[in-house]
Amino acid sequence: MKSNAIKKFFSKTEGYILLIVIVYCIIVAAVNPNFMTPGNFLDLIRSSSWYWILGFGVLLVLLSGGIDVSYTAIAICSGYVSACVIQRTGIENLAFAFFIAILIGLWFGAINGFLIHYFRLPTLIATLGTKTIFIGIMAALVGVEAINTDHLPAVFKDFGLAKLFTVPTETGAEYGLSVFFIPLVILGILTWFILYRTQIGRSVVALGNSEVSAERAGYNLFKTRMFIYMYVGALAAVAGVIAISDVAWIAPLSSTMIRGTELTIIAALIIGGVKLTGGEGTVFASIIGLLLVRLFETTLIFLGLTSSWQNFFTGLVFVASLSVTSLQRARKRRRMLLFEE
Amino acid sequence: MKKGINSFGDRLLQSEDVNVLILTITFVAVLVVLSIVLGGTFLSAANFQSMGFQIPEFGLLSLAMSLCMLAGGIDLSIVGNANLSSVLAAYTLLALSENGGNPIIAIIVAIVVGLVVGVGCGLLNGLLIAKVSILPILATLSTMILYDGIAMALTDGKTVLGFPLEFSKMAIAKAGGIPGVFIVFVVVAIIISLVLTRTFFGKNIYLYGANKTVSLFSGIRVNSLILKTYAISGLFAGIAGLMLMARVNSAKVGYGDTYLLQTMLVSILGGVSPTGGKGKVLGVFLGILVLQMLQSGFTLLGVEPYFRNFIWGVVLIGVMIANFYIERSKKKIKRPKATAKEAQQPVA
Repeated sequence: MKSNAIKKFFSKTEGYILLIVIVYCIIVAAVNPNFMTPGNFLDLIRSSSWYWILGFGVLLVLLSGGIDVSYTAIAICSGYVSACVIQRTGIENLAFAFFIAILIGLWFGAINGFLIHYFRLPTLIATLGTKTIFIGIMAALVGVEAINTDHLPAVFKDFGLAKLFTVPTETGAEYGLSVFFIPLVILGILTWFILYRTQIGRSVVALGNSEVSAERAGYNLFKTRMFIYMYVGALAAVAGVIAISDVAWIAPLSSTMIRGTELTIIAALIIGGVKLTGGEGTVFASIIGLLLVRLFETTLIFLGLTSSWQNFFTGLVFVASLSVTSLQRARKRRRMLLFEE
Repeated sequence: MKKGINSFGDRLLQSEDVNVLILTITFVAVLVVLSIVLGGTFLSAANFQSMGFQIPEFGLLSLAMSLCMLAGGIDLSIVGNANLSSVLAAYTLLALSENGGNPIIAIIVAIVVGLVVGVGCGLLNGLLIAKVSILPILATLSTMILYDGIAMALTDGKTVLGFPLEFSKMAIAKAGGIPGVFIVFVVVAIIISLVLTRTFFGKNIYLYGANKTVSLFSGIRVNSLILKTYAISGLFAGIAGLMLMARVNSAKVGYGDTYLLQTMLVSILGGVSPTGGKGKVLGVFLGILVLQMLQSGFTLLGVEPYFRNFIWGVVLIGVMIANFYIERSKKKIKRPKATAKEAQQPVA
């Protein structure tokens, strides 16, 4: 009975991606023993926390059958505006920083949701457009000047350096678990709770499975779509504040920190087993998919390769895992004589 | 009732040419407005020549994107493909010309390498979509990361330069004042337009884009159709990569990254339906001209790049919303026609 459950778990995409993660970690550890230190793992959690938070939001969009590429722009805008507001008003309060950022994230998300629902725009194209519009609005209202470490409000810097606990090493340096872990866990559980324990969460999945059926089942799709894109906006805002606190500076136009990761994060979720056409995907799948991609990003150096190889490996795993799942699905469809996608 | 169906505006709305007409009007309007605002600097021969040098690269990428959209797909990997082609062509060029080799032969071999890589990458996309049945958007998203990754791993993010002089001369070659690259682009556009309208292959692309299941049951060799479509898209990306490499006289991962949004914008602006089956090369061509004129106008006016992108975003969404209303009014015109027939039947 128990072995059956294990077998079932590893036949799922999440399962064998977890297997790949474990095998990869063993290989890296075998090549370079320096990899297997607790400090390394805690550091990975710190630097990946905002990836995961963005991933939770993207999970909802993908589950609903949409693609959002504007959420990184929302993260940059809301984080930057929040930093600017605190810098100008002098209210050094972390809750206030998050409040401002989330407010902006919700607004931008609402714009997305409204356009997508009301005008029936294809989600990819609509968000490609709004992505540039959000940056434009931010530039017009607040400006685009970079804030370097010296001028960044102290709340951000303190938040970025705060640790839940620290362990001293033999060399005298310290390592510890960043406070970013708290919002990460809270938002992970919240996303899981929304998806599996609330009506609105079920309507997201229903929408992804079939829009017509969801509508006939009595779900208010306007509400569902608004919820999805506003939730993504809010999570992006939280991720934005965390990312800025982490690196302690922000250049909204040239910063390569969040910008350009949108497709990588979507790809990572799909590698983990989230279905792009909607209806299938779990919180665990998004965590494990992003973990694999983040491992490629951060640990290639332990294998003696430069980070230039990161996209090569990500692409390779992506093509391979897609090929396996797509072939399985295609064979199943053919057996059932289904020709429509 | 008769008036409602047959009035000129409604008939125009129903026809496929409405987009080309709108684009032509936009084209003329933009030309006139920019000429008035900027005067001589915009209307100068130098400005038009520089536009002629800038159009071909992203024009070819837009044609590649439009072709895949017509077939109901999308090709996100075109920019990655162009970069990979140019990087491999650059290495070939360097290897053959460094040791005192004949630069002309080196250039020819490099161009062939670039085109072969482009077509090969396109074929891989086609294979993944047709044989492995991955959704086009997913297949090309993954190959986009892969092609980018291969080029990045090869170059380590560095710029590849030091080509023979003859190569960069090719980029600035002119025939009667018209840039050579622009002539290449126009010839390619005319050929693909003829292929789409005059051949079975072209008709089948439209049919496949409009309804995949029907085309499968009509006996179309769907797999070979997809392979060919994405191979052509890859070929265009390869040519664009070579042009880009010749223009900046170097090759690097990340060149032309901003083109991806613009190619989608131009395709949709040009009347290509993102769900497939509808659109014309002429529309895309006009879209490219409009976008390039605005781009040049913004440069002359000194508009910031982010604000330029903002305008592209607004235009993209504006066009999509306009299409939404056009589609809806089409349906509204059709509906009373059907009910009128139903109402007449019992009488007859």
